[in-house]
Amino acid sequence: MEIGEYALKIAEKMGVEHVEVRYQRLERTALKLRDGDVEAVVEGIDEGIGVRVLYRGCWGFSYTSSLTEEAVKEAVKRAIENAEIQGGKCEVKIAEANLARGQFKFQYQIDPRNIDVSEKISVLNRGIENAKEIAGDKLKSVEINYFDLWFKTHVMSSDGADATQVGARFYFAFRVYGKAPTGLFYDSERCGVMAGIEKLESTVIDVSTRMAKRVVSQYEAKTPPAGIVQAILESRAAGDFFHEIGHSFEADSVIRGVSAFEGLKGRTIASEILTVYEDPTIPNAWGSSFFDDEGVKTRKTVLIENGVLKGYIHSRESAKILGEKPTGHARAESYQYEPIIRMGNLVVEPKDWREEELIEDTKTGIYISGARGGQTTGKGPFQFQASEAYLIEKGEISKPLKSVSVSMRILEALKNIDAICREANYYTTLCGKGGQRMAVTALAPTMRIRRVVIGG
Amino acid sequence: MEIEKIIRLAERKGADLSEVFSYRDKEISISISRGGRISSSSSISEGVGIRVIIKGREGFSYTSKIAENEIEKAIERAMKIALKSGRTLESLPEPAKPPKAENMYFKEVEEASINEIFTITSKVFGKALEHKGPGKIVSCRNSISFMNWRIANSIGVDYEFAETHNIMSFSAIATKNGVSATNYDYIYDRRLIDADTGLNKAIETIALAEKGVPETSIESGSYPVILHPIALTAILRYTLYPVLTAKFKPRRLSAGKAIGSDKFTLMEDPLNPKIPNSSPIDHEGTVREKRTIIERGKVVTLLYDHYYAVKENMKSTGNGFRIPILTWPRMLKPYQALPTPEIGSLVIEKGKRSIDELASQAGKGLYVIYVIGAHGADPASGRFSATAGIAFKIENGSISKPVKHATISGDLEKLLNIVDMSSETRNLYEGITPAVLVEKLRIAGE
Repeated sequence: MEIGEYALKIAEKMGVEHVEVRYQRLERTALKLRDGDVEAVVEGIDEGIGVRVLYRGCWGFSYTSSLTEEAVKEAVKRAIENAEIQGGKCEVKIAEANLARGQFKFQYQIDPRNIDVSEKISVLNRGIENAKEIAGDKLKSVEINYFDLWFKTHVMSSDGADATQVGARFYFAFRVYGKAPTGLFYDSERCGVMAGIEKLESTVIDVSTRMAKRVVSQYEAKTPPAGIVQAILESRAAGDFFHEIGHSFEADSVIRGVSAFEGLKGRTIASEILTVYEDPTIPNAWGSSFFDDEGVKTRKTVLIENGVLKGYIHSRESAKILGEKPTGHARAESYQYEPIIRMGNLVVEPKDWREEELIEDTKTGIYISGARGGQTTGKGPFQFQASEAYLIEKGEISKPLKSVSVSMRILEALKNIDAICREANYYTTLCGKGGQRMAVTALAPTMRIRRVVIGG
Repeated sequence: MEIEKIIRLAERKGADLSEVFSYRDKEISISISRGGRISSSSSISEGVGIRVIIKGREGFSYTSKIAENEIEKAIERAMKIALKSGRTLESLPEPAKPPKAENMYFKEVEEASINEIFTITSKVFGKALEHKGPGKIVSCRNSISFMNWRIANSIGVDYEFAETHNIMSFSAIATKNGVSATNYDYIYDRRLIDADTGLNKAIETIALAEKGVPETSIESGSYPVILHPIALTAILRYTLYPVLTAKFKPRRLSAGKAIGSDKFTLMEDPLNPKIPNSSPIDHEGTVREKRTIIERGKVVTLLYDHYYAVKENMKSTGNGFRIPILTWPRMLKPYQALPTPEIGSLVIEKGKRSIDELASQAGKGLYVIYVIGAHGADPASGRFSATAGIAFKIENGSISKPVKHATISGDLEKLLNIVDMSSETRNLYEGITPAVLVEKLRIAGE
């Protein structure tokens, strides 16, 4: 009997109503480079089991990094104890779900475990050299934080989930320090790819080229006018914008009363040109999964259709509370965490505008490209920082702007979207919520918002 | 496997120098949310981080499995990295006698049961739910941890340290006439936080959300700004604190450089138990000392670990902490990382005035409780822009109505152009901080 199955059987014998067991093996390399120098190299293997039980109506969770029968049994006991101490004060019920069974694999060609760390360093250094070549002496310093990961996750539940997903992914944060007449400035871009090392070099070159061009364009950037303006959000900035909004689709925030969309299902909450869905089934996207950490098969879920709020994303528990169906969005950072409701790939449906037409149609405003530092309080404001921004004057892109921050309240912003373009790019990130980080994307086309607050 | 054995094993395998960081912890966390969601988690973990130096190159690896064969594999991984791609380093910290640590470990926390923590959390949340008014508690999280770590190296450093922590955090929301404000706050202690102390903070968090529901707007412009310790720390975390460490490149600060008004003094107080990061030595065995980092607006020293100190011919300031580098899922435990210079136990010098007196001094402006989006700041230029989660207008020298929308922006020099500080301070993750009155910052309003 394998160790996960052993945990499941032990928990069932101890009288739990429901149990989920998650085994994970994570093999990774992490690197930090600066201007060609290696600042840190870590290689490691982590393995463990997370156990979540439903016992006397309450959840209890524990994990262990030791896979001996004794350690696993202790973890099960701790999970039950964690449920038991709640003294039956909760009445958790979980919805019926389409549970996953079988073996699933994300596509990758070159397994990161088979590539020597020195080769990975060479590829990343080519990205640094490429950026320096493009930006010349306007670029003072480049730093890359990189990791790759081979992962295997096996989820089993007492009601029949029994599925494994295996894959490889890499992620890097590219940080540049540029020189401008006014002094140094900083910019960053993060990029996550669900693939093997075969895609590393092209992705690194692509991001380093984009960042170097930004350093050049920001050289003479000026501080923006503060206040309310019309803004065009280029695809990646629109992605960050929608990712922050997306937290309000998470049913746990609806139940806790902090979602901007609480109590609004079936109502018009956005411009009628807007359709948004969540789709973790997109093949090999950074936020994709075949099943979630409760063992539920993932599926596409429509959230806003022509401006009307259609639904939320769910765990099995939240689906039961709100009388909806689980959507496969209960995700955990690793076996060391309980699943919580998280986005996967948030998608905004493209429309007909071409970006050039949209700029021409915008007599005055700001064009915002790329974003970092997004944060929201749900019913309160949300904000992100533009990586690159320009004034739009007389329907044309004009002066570059620096330090542009964009803030809005969610419902006002959604109603103020008046044009959506055809092309979209992925915004990828590791998003924090509830003490956990999660690989998520947003795929949104370039769009225009009539009123945003700009601080600079 | 004993630490001495690991050091000898590394030497037998060819390491010129070796260092072992052995670690174990116990964590309990209870989280209760509105709607009845309870999350209860407990864990025990341990591991070893091994640094080796061979022919002037450094290698590192770790393992969470303490069996001899797993430690041997970790040493081999560290040796491989040292030989192929490790940083240049020829020495390790020398032994020295650390001062005595007091009130950093409490048995009551190490021995607390999940039942005890649940009872406290449940009492706090249950009572907070009874609060009448437009404000509601949304969630309460109560986490305790016990950590025991030992650092030893082949040239005689050998020190063991035990620490305990309890953090209780709250989120609250208040809605009036369809307009909402959310608020977050927390308390920290090395001892167990009792239910009454927790409840007081919960009620305070709800009350501030109620007071903060926006009623008015502010016109865009430049104003004097009072930053509550939480708002100030959020901005300093991404503008000042990263550039104080020797690893921040390109270097922007150096000793003697003026970066703020003569009212701004920043110290490090590593034996202060009220600060989570306090300890008599750092994670590589260097003794930590109380020191001034910025005095009356001028930089006195940057913060060094052993590696950067050697590289720059300086002395380590005892700021070598093991903060795991970027990976996902995250490596959360200190044994999984090499030491790197990080801020430790910071104390910003306090003033003599109350918040109301600071408002009177400001005359007109904004009082900001907390901000969102500060992590988008530019540490190279010091420029930041953050939106107020809760903020109040200052009119005629008094704190008045809560503001609907205010984005605060400026740069580090403007931020540290501090006119005065409050006498009251807060214990936050980074250290002890007063509220400050900043001469002028740019505000974008509606």
